[in-house]
Amino acid sequence: MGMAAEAQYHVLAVDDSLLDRKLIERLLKTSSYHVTAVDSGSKALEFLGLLEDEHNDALAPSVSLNDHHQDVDVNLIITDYCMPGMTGYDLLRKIKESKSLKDIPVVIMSSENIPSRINRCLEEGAEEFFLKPVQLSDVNKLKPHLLKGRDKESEPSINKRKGMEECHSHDITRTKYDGLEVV
Amino acid sequence: MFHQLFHDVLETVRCSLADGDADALVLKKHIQNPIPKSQKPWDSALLIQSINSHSSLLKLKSGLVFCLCREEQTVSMEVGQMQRRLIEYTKSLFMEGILDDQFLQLQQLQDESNPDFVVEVVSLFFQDAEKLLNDITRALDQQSVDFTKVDAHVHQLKGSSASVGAQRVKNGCIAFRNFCEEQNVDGSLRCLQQIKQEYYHVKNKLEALFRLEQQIVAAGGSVPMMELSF
Repeated sequence: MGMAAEAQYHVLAVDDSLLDRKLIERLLKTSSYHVTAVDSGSKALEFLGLLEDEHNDALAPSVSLNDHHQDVDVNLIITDYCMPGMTGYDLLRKIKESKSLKDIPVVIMSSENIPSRINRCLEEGAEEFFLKPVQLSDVNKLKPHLLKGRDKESEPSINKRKGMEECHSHDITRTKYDGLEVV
Repeated sequence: MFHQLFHDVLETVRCSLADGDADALVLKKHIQNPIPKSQKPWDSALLIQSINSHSSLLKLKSGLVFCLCREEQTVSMEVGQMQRRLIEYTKSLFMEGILDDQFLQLQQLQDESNPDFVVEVVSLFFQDAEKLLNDITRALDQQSVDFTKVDAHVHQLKGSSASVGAQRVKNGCIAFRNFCEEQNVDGSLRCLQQIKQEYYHVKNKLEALFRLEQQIVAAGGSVPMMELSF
């Protein structure tokens, strides 16, 4: 059965909680994304074709950035922050340090509203930070990041990392942020 | 004799309702004879309407409607009634703070292609919660309590309960974490008791809710969607 990889965006979801994996999977599928869900950062890297190794760049990943047929074509990674072993932050760093994977947009989810944590993730290159439980309104915010990712080949000079100014005006519309100062 | 028959039916129905039990009633011994089509209401206490040759509707003055099925000799709540009861029941759970908005989010994710989504997710919650409550109990029972471990379990339980909308359990977990931070064993034990109570409470409520849904589906109806504002 062939997969119309061009027609559907493929999201890799990472969460150690089975319940949350089921939930995020359903949220993403409802929004017509093709989903792969794994339970750890290391499994995510494995899926992405990047073995957990210091020498990331030296390995030949199975992910290619062009239009030819790919083994793995992931358009966005959404990961929980708190996971045993490799945290979502660790995973984010490894992805951003990888030549082949750094352009894949990464979104972090967390049940805890800790401004310094949020900031650290955004500075490291995360596109968004969702507070759990994640809702449909959050998933609806993913589209622009996915579209940006698609253009990565044609606009290499765009700085995908959010500066501090952007952090303040970052569209984190969840009411839980109210009254909290982003350090 | 006919009056007596229906009086018995009504009494049984009334008693079942008083129990708060919405299960379909089977009253084989009560309905002996076919119900005459042209039966007029008496005492305006009830109205019988024949809907087809198999069943009639029994409407009580209070507005409750029952479906009498001659062949199977059953009296059951009419589907619309069951649906309204389900909505009222669900509403009460929100009013009491047992469930929060996240539960509605789950319901919104359920559709014909995933008709059991809510039940499946809630079942995962039950499994998670029971395991974690056991883990926490054991951890607090140690000579020297490892609060890092306890906190980790509570954090997980908080996450799961938040994901299904089990508000009171979630709030209990939030309070619990303070005791963990203080390394307070007594406070933790009290908190654990409270969370266990809240957990079993929400479990019972959700199981009753799912039973109501099953009855509606079994009666050929569809489970109504809750409105987001009420």
